[in-house]
Amino acid sequence: MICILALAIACSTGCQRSPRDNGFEPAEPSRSATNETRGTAIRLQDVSSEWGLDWTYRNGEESGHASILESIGGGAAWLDYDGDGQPDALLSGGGHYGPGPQVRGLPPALWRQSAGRLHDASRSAGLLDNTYHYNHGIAVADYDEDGFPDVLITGYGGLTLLHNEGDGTFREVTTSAGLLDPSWSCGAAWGDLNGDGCLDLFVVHYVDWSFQNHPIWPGPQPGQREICPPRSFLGLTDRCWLSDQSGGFLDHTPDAGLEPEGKGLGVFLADVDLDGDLDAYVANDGVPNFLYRNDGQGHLVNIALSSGVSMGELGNADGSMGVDLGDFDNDGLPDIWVANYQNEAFALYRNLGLDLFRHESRVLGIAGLGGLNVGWGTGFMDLDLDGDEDLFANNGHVMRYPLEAPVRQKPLVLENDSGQRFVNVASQAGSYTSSPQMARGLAAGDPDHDGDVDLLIVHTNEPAALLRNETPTGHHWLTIRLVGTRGPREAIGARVRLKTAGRTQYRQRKGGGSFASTSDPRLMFGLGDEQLVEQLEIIWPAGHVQLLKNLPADQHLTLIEPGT
Amino acid sequence: MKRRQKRIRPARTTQRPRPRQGPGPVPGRWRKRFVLGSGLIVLVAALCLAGPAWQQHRLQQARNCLENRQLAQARQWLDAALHRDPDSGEALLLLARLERREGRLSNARDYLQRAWKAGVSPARLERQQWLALAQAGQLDEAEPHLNELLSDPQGEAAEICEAFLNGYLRAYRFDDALRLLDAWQADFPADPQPRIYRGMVFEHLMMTGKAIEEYEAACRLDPARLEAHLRLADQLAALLRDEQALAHYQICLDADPRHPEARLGYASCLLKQGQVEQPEQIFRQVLADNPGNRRARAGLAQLTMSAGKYDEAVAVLQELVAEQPTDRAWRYQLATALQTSGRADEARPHFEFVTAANQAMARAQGLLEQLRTEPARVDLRFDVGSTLLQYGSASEGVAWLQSVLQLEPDHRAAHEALAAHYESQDQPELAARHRRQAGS
Repeated sequence: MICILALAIACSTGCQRSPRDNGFEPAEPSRSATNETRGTAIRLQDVSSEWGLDWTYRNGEESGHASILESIGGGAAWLDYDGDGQPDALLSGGGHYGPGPQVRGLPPALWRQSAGRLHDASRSAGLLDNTYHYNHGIAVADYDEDGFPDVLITGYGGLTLLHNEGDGTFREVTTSAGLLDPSWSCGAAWGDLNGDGCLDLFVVHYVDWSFQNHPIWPGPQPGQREICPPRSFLGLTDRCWLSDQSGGFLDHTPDAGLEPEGKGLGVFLADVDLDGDLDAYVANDGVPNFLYRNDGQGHLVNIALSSGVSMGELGNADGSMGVDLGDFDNDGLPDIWVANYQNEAFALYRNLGLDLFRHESRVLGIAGLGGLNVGWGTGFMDLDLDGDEDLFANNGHVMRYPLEAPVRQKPLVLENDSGQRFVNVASQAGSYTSSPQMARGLAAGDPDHDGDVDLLIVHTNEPAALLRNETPTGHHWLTIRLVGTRGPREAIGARVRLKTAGRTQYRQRKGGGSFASTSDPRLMFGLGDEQLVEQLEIIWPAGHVQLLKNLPADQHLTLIEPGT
Repeated sequence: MKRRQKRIRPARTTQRPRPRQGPGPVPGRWRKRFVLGSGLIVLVAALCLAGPAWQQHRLQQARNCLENRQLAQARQWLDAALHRDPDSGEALLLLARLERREGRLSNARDYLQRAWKAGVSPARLERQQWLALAQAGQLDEAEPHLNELLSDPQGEAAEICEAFLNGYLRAYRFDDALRLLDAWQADFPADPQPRIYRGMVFEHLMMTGKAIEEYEAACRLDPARLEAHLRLADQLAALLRDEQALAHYQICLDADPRHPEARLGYASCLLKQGQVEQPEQIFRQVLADNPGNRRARAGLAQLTMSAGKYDEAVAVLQELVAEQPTDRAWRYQLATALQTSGRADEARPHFEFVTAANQAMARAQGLLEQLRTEPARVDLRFDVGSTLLQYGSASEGVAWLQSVLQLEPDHRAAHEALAAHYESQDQPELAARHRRQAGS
């Protein structure tokens, strides 16, 4: 009997098909872009101490208010404020609270360069003579065309416009220039929106936080308090001013056609549709981004949704912070790059022409980088001078006690593989990029004049970093500074086409970009092994075209717009 | 060994008789006949006795499978048991449990009725009815019996907890769910199931990081628990942690290469990493098994769009949107595909839907946060439910509206919303019921 039963049981179990018997083999595991172990030449060395840079942006978190104000952080800029040909560094100061529920600003810091060293020139430049709002961003441009770069500082409670007096000092002129703006601002961009030859200003506003609107947000553990997320607040309408052509500004917001209630953090002005005027792209936090098409007169229409650049690939509104425009595939059509919040793919929108873009992060290996990053200062830049634009992005969390991602985060160094794919090589690019940081603003430039891109990075409550590019490629380069004459001196909106024997590259002189920061105004090209630029074509903002031929590589060019 | 050989030999001789060589000695022949006859008698007796014992064995196997969450195997044993005895009360009761655990509550009710007719004791049936009510989210009727059930679990403690947890999740009563989980976990610390349920609660609360922690703990407790791996993989994939997600999908696929959800999750991760051929192959394999699978069709549409074949993508996405008009991702992809292929007028309504949906869902997110601190707010629950029905997951919307009716059974607007939903889903009986209740 037992034998019979045992036989039956054996049959009943043994006759069941194992899952593997059905003829389907699991998909072969494949190596993703993130795990590619390809080598890179890119090396970025932190030389802050060597250069004497010692500055820390403060957000006032020690007060315990846990306000959303603290989460934003600060920005940086490269500018040659004293006209000595050496880029100087300007960094925002941040702020603190008190007494009681009051928000106070800390002054920005100006670091003057002298032969490869930075010296604190804040006092001598008169920056400490002013009071400041709690500040975040820095937008630099010579708005009054006097040959010296001026500075706009954004922040909570208002803007601060510092006029460069040309004698090594700045004078605060906000009110007299008409830039009264009590809203909380972050990113800002200069550019000639209405084609009158003078620089106008676009400022993005964030949310309606105040101590009267300051919800308590519990942290994960009893007694902890978390930063209240932006979704708990109303967004604010951005603002733009047109130059009055005599050093002042007129509020153009009511006529500009701006969308109500964005939650703007990043912005750039550039000729996105290549029609000869400046368009605007605004990175909003948690609501769809805006792409404003300009009619040439400063009237803007948001075409982001129909253009495919307002949201993520699946129609989700990302938490966007940093932005830039570049041409990663060298097809002559400018593409848009957006650094987003955690669990969202950073967005690279490929320009298809005719105001249409395609979200290509997945195809280019960017979506597979992992969802931990909260991205801020960022930009296209040819770090290895091989002739295609790579991407750099700062990361760092906004929350104090995030459950799904670390507070301090490694940056992304995305090496461009000929426009086909991006590979994160941060772990190989040096000790800074392979370590987690609390980074925010990013300004790219070439303070050491060696032709490659160096980086100035602002951290929150930690010293800023200067990363010198020490990539040992032996590649050639060219930098171009454009000086406008028929349009604004800054030549924002100028388009450059550079042709060598092997390839053609495209750049634009942009206003704004990155996060709360201003990069070196020079356009920087990597030429790979090419030692000769066969042709350089500049389309100036006023529309006419300048052609130069057979330019040797490895030089800093300053091109002045030809007169009539 | 020698003795066994001796016992086997006679049987062989009966199978292969030697050619007769004339009459043999009589005593030997009788002995052979005696042995043969005795063997036959024993065989017949064994077969007669084996029937009931075998039935008991089937039922015990079914119980074991139920306990081990091997529901498909449990069903096989129970089908066999009912084939042997269609009126087996025990088998019918076990089938009722099985149907309930698989969420087919009306089937469970039918089996309970049959079990009652077959003579199963009312007390046992009543327990199952309470569990069915709990699982259906009718907690008002089931909850008073929870303590009674748990104080005498009759070996079904886990099943009791699960039924109530399903009910709490259905009614979006997460605090109650977490309290019950605390108790379950304290009594059965090595059981991965409470960790899985805790993860599900955190998923509902959109606390993905905590959900992942729970699923990871469940995987550690029982590395073979595929449900834990699959849920963990889905959450990791949602956080774009595709490398980790792929590893857990792979574990599921190693155990069940045709697991549709694991295959789709695996392919989606590869898709996010920019791969084309392998995800396409997997999507097509899934469709070969199930031609209507929407995730696979949507994945192929994504690949088609990336390849710039917008007209082809539009055709697939239009079908998907027709089947599930509230899916934002498909509506957005359809809109962009239409726009890019020059059909801006057709794209516009889809863009408008996505814009409205994003705004509504952002608002719903705020309401959900409010509900964490004010779970009894019927107005918030109704708002969330209506929004989800219109712009998000219909099943979640229905669950939220049902949670409204739990708290306020005569909530007219909730009945009306549910009636409208069921009408749109071609479920006239349910629609009519809610219409009646809305009017009463």
